[in-house]
Amino acid sequence: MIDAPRRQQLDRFLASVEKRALRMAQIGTGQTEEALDIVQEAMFRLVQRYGSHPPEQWRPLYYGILQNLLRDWHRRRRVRAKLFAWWPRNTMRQETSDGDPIEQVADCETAGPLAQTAAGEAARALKAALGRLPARQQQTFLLRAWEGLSVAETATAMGCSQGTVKTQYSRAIETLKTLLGEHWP
Amino acid sequence: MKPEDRFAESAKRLLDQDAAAMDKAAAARLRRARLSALGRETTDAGSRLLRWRLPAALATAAAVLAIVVALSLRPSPPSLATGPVEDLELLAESDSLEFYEDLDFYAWLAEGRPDEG
Repeated sequence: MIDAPRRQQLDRFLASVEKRALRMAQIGTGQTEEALDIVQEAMFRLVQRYGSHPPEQWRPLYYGILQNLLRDWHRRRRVRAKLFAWWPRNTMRQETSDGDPIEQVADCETAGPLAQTAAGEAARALKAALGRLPARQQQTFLLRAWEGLSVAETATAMGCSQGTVKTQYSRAIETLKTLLGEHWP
Repeated sequence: MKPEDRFAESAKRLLDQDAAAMDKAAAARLRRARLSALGRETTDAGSRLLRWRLPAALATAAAVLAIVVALSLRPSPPSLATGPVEDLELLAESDSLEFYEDLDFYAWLAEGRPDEG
């Protein structure tokens, strides 16, 4: 059972990461509803399993849970795509079509002011490019560059070695530069 | 600063701006999700307690029920004494009372009248 002060700490922590977590899940899944479910489930699991852990451990733990959930989501999606491969393509298009990843990247602020600025355009291009990265590169880049996790923390969150983190991160930057091209300011 | 660090720095700035500009509906849903996650912890703790207490309560109820059923099915010994309800009925009937008053006469009658011998 978690006491009230610890609950407040957890609330503050989750509030501090929730927006970035949602954006990561949106980039990872390309779907806002699915992303919200994943973020909520990650919050729940952190509270349930690690709520009593020291607060300084929460960040890598939370992102570890989030990455696992995203991996599971992709796994289920691949299985579903295989199971329904025989289904007429047009009826399953919304569910399983890979389509253009750029179009799949969630865009909550299309009508917002950010989308009308150069920075907004750059952000859109960046999210689209991130959506096209292989999952491991995408996760590594977002955790390292955006969330600011150390190499060791990223390795913990992703369940891999620090060497793998360095390699994936370096590859992610190269791929992003190539994908962004002229869009990058 | 190395070019890749500069790139990462710009990306972080853009993504931060993008997250900060999240629309209100999505932000509200995130808040609800957070409160729900924190609330579910309480609910689950409660249900964990229930999970322990419920079987114990059911077992107690079953034992009480078994005792009640066993007692009700046990044959009761025939009662020799008349119950209070029976006494009341006798007292309420005036005819019966007269009968009891003449009980000696009826006993003498039953033994046989002396002139019939």
